[in-house]
Amino acid sequence: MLKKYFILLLVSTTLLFAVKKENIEPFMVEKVNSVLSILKNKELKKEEKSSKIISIMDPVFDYTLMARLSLGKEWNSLSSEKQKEFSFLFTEVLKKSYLNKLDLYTDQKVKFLGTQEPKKNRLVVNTTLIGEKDNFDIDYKFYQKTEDEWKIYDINLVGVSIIQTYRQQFAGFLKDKSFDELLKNLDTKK
Amino acid sequence: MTKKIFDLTVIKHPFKTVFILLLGVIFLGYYSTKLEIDASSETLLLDNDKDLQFARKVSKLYYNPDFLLITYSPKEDLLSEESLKTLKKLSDELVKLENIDSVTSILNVPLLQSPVQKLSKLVDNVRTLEKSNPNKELVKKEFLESEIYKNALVSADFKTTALVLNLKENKEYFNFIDKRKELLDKKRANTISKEELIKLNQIQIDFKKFRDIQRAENSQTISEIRDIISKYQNEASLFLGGVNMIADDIITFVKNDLVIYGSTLILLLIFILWIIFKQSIWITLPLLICILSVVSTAGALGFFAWEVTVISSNFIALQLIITISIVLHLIVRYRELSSKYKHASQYKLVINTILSKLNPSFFAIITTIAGFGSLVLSGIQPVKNLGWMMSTGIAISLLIAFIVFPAILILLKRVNSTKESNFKLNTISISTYLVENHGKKIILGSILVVIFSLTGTTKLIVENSFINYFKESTQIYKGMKVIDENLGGTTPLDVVLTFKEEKQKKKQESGFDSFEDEFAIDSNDKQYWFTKDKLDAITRVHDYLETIDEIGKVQSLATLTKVGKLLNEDKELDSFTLALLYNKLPPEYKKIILSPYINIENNQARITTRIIDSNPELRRDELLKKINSELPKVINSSNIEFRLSNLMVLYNNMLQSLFDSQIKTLGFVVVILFIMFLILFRSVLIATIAILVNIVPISIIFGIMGWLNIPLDIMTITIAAISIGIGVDDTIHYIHRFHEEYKKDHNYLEAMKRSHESIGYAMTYTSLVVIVGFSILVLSNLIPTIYFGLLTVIVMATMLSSALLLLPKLLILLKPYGDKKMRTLKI
Repeated sequence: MLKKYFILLLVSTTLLFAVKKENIEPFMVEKVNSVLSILKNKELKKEEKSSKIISIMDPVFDYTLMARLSLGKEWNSLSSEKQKEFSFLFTEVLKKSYLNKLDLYTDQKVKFLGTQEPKKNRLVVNTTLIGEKDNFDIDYKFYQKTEDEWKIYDINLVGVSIIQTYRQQFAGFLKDKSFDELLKNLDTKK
Repeated sequence: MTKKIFDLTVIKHPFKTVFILLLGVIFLGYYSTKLEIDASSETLLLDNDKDLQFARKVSKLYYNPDFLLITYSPKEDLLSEESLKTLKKLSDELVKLENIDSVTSILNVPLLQSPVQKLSKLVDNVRTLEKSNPNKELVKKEFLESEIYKNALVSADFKTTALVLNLKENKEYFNFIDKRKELLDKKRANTISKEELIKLNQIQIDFKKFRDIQRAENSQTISEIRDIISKYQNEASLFLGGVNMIADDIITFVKNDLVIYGSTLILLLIFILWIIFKQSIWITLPLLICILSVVSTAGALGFFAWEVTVISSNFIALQLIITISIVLHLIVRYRELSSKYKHASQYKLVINTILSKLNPSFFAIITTIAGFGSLVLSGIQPVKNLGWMMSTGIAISLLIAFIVFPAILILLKRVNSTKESNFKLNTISISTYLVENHGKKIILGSILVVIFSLTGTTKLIVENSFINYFKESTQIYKGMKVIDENLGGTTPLDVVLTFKEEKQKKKQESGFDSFEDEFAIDSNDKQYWFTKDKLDAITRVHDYLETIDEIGKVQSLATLTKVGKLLNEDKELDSFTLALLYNKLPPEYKKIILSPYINIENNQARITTRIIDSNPELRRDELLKKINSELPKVINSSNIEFRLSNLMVLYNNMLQSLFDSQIKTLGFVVVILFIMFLILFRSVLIATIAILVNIVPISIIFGIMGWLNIPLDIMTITIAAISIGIGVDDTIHYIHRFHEEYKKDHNYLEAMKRSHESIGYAMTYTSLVVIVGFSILVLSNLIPTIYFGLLTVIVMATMLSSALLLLPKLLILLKPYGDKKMRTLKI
């Protein structure tokens, strides 16, 4: 019993503090398992599930960076107000889309395959979602934000990068339309 | 001079001359065995057409196998055990055929909505009617409502389904095309080396051989398929259809027409010649000349490797008309001389016949060649070939007729007309009476004809529908009708969208360069191609094409996204889901649902449609123009280029170019004819009269076609040139004779009467033989051949009327040779 409380305490403290490089894998194991247990909980309504999952994952995502990356070089030409507005809308859309993608999880289990360090300040956590017939690879891409803090800036699902998809999407949209139209479009989707 | 030549050769050495001629015919006869028939779509395309290059490129870039279709309408319910069992047995038998790569049917297509399952599950477990045991009500609903299958795989009444027989891919064909194009381009640019020129010739020869083999294999496959489906006719109604089928059936029909109608035509000719002359020599001699001419021409075609195509399939009939017309003029002249000069020797009769007919016949043939020659100016190879074929053929006929006719007759005793052999027609006396007493009515009638023709011409349409090539009773018509009306249409039309690459923007220094670089590396990965702007543009074009009545089935990437939306709880498939699908979809399904519609390397998407060919409202050129003018608005993006492609565009190009060239060359032919008439008759007035009496009957063809809604197509469009070719003879022979007769007493009326009594008969006999002979073509299975037969009959009848009524009336009225009586009075 004591042990259980101890683990809970440990988890909640890690949630409050920044993730260090050496803690990334156990931290993610914990996070993902929490998400899975929420997903498996049949008593919870969909909205409740969503808000719980968001509250678990929120601290570990760097939404502002993700917004900036998804817009590519276009970002630099924007005023800081527009950047803020875009970041806000993008975060909302991303969360909604992420929650939708969670539908892919049914009764599968997650297996952690290890980590990779493609660059000095980058780290990728490789996981696989084990299904009845097929497995889905999910890679969480971290970067070093500050000396002690690592955050997720992208997720690769079966080789498809969420940020890259948005980058292509926005670039395509901005070929013919203005940035304000893009904001309007995001607003309708949030 | 001419007399001397004839005296020294044919008349003096008839045996030797005929022997040498026979050697030539035998030589050509050998090559006539090499005569080939090709009705493939290849023959109907414009070689220098940029759309053709584009269409070939497109067909290489997308998975696009050649296919044949079998329509299957079982007696039982389509999804009953019995029907499915038969279908399975049939598919299994078909897939064993050597040229068939796979068979797609309701049995093996993926079921996505029976029941609707989540996308994630779908990718793991693709169901089919054959593999799983789905709920049949749901399957029926899916086939009837699914964007993928409705009106393509099953008919709206759920009584008919299609089996798609995918033929094995033919890479060698494109290798030939590519190699040939590369060398041809060099040749056009004059940069080709000697070695390359030899190589080009070799490729042309090899490609022809390859196509011959292909044609034979294709025909073999079709006959094997037909054998297989014939076994199932008791259980279901089955038809075979598809573009390859059209070509094969046309070849079969053309071959049958050549054999059946060619031989029947000869029998009919014998019959009519007997009715007219009742003397065996006047039957055997024309027939001998006809046969020698046809064999030699077929040999010349074999020698020059000019393939017989749909357009030139009537060359034997045409050749027979022209040959018989030359010989009949000779016979009538001979008989005329023989009855006039009772004691003249055979030599006198023969040489006078030849000499008096050589000039008009030569000019008649030259003008005929000018008529056919106009076809050579068109850009379409088979039409050009028809021009060359006929020009060569009639030159051969003239030569053979003027050698064989005197050579044979000189060996015989003089032929006196017997009483029974004096076949007379009332037409001559009636027309003499009309010209003399009702001249104004003739002029008025001609004006009415011109008005009729002009108004009809404005209604002319240029259309080419393959389904209308065949009689309703033929299997291919029935098959194509089912495909056209119930299974999404026949002639393919594609819209190819090309998304312009984004220009690289100037690199701006920032602290995020390492991230930018990271994402730049895999930004071109295939799975990221599916962006919303592209999908939206594809869907807009797809939906727009679906609103067009003449378009049947439309398929594109939008088909997939529409189905996907249904499977995704009515939420649109976003780029991420599509990227996931792209990565997870097994290759065999990628091949079916993605490869025909997108080409990521070239940043392109293809929206395929099939045109409902049998729609009577269909105006192909207008439809293409409409789509071309409306698409920019639909696409609404300066970053997306579009281009229409596939057979619909190519055939339309061919037809429009043929129409343009025909209109231009018709004018050219009229001018050339006028100049020829000027040279021949040395009078502007006579040349004008001659042109007028030709234009009036030819224009009637366009009037009839316009008023009866008969479209100008690849076949009927050549009718004007052919009409000029065969019709002009009457005018030349008549004016020539009229001039001779006028010289005797300088009396126009009497000259007309005498001309009618002499040359009038030759003209009437010729026309009669052609009219009766060509009526037989009405029985052909090919509609263009029927039209050809009917229109030729009409042209011959109107040409004859024009030459016997309008021509003499104008000669009498305008007095082109002056008015001798008046002149003497004045003096």
